[in-house]
Amino acid sequence: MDQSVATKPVMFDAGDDYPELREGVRELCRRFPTKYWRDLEGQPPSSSYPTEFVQALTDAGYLSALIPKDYGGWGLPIRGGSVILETIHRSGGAAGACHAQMYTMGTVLRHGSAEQKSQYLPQIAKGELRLQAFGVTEPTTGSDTTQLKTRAVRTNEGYIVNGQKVWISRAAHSDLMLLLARTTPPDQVKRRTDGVSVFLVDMREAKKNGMEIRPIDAMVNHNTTEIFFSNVPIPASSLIGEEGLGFRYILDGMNAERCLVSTEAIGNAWYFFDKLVAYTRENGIAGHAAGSAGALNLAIARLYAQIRSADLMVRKATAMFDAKLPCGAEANMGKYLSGEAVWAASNLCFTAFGIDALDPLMDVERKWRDTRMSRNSPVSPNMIKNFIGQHVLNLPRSY
Amino acid sequence: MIHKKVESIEIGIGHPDDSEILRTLESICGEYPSKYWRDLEDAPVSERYPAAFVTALEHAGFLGAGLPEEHGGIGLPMGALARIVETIHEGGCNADTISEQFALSQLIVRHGSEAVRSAVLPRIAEGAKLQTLAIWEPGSGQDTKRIRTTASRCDGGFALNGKKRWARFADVSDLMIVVARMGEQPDNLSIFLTDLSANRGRLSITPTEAMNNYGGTEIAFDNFIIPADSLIGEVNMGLVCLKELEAINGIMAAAAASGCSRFFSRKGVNYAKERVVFGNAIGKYQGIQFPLAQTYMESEGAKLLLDLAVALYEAGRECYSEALIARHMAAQAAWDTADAAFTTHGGFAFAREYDVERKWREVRLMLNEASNALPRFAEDALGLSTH
Repeated sequence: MDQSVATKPVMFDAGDDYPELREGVRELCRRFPTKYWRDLEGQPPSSSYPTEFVQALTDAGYLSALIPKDYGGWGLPIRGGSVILETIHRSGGAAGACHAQMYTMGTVLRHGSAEQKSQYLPQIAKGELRLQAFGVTEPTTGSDTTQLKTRAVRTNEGYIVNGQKVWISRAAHSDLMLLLARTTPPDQVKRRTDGVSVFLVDMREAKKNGMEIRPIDAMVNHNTTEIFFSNVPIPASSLIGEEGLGFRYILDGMNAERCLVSTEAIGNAWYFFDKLVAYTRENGIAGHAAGSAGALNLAIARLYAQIRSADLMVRKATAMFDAKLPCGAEANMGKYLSGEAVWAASNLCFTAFGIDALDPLMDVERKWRDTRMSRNSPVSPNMIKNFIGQHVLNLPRSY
Repeated sequence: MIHKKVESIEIGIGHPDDSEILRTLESICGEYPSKYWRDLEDAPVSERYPAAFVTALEHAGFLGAGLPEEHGGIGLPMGALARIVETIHEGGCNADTISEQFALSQLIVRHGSEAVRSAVLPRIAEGAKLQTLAIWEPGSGQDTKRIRTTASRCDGGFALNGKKRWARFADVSDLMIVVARMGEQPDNLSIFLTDLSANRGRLSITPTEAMNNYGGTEIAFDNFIIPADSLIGEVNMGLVCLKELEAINGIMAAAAASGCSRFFSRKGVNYAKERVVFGNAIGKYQGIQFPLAQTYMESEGAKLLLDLAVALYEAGRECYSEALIARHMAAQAAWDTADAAFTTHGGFAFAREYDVERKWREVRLMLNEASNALPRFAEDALGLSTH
């Protein structure tokens, strides 16, 4: 059987790597206790963005940690970004408001022109420009990205964009957006993955020229929006790489995204694990709903094993990404295993806290909701099983 | 908030250095196809030991693979031993004989006195079988505190009295490790190395009929005298050795489970591609495909815990916790994979010829054998009591 999981030798650290980074982020997070995050949820969507937290991360340089030193960043590999995100989540915070910069930046870095890189990356590194929005999903596409209908039509000056995007997080708090749009109609390309292009859109300009952002009221505070493009002109210089190859560029970024958000899931899983252990130690016997202490403690032990296993897969995928090896299978497996682990963790915690789980002051329900969302996004467990079934086990395509 | 530091340890992905060993093994496994293992199950209970297979392993030098070169072994590291066990199971064979040999030999290497090491290790390297651990008893479960077999000092050494159950391969093995009590305190356990081949007539060894070809026996010790130099480690310090053995056994069991996962993943996927029902290969149906994909991912994740435990062991560091959780996760993943393959095969899963049900029974037992891993981990590493 051709189980094409790569077996090239790659080394990775299974312990607390980047200890200074971990300590620095923990220190920063202490300034934003759980009350800060709870209070944000009480705000209307338009003012629920963790502005001060994101500013603090930006000022400390964490959000530009992956930008190469030549452009003013720290030049860390993806694993460095992962450690930052994991630590934020383990500390009770949420990096969903700002993590996109880490992987969207990579698309600009790998596929952008020299001019684009020197124009944008130093400003992003300094915190003068925010690249937080990633415009891929549309109302009618779901996981079937190549069906996207947003069109960018070539003109003498550049492109005219028409269409609609949905679930675009942080768009109201970003200056730039990485936008995926079709530049050649699907009936004029050989494969559906062709004819799609990536643009780096200056949203400050676009908002004046027909782009409208509407916040979506959602179960989790991800400051997510829908975006309408109505004859929005963008300059030719906003095209990233070659026209028509955008889907390939995005796929590359998706593996980075999976590595990063999987590590957030690991951070959340440890958050719940820490909470569970503290809770059982304080209470002696288990909480109201959990049955005997033995049953709960055994479940906590099982949870630990599950988190470590998922964490190792995420680290393996990340090490392979950083070593520029194909890592689609590992990145997907890491996303799946970390999603299952964090859901097991949050659900066990929710159960152990009994009726107290509903109390926002317990800091269980907010992160529990967050966790459930992160299993569906950015790729669902079912689509991962399809991927593994087809591309690793070589079973027939099921859909 | 708990921020228990996890020490750095590097894990390597891929071990190209072992490819020659693995090729040799795969060729041996090819000579002992499923029919060989099925026929063993049909043999009388005293003739079910896979003697020809073990002899082939011995001729290729694998029985002493883990022993230091100065004692005649190959000195392979733990990772290579784990991959040997994994590869044998992946090939549809059973590695319990050799994994017992690897684990129990490590005990002698680490805790045997110089005299014992130089007397016994070359024997093992030349092919003597050390495959029997006599520890559990009719009333003990997997609780060492309830071990009642006693060892008492006497002229000429120690006298053993008591009864052991599920001691594997005692009717065939040349050497045996016995765990016996030398005091009233729950932890007063000592470990002895006993020569079985020289004492065949003096011990009552009865093979146990079982669901699997497990090789279990009952041993009755009735004032059985063993020489004074049989003691491994110190008097009543047996638990230290047993804890180490538990870690090594955890690695071996996780490797066996990982091999079974691969065996069943391959079996399930191949059948799902070939079998056509309702006009399609059944692997096209998500009801079939998803469990195969899911259990594949779980097995690959568990395998990384095994790699972690091995890396720690090879670095000479504490690996007890990691070995326990690797064992638990690998056994669970193997069982889920085996059961997915079982479901995939429909009615044919029951047909012995398809060779699903034999290893499916084997894997089910792995869960029971691993049942202590999580509670021990919870108490030892997390400080959480599970009873």
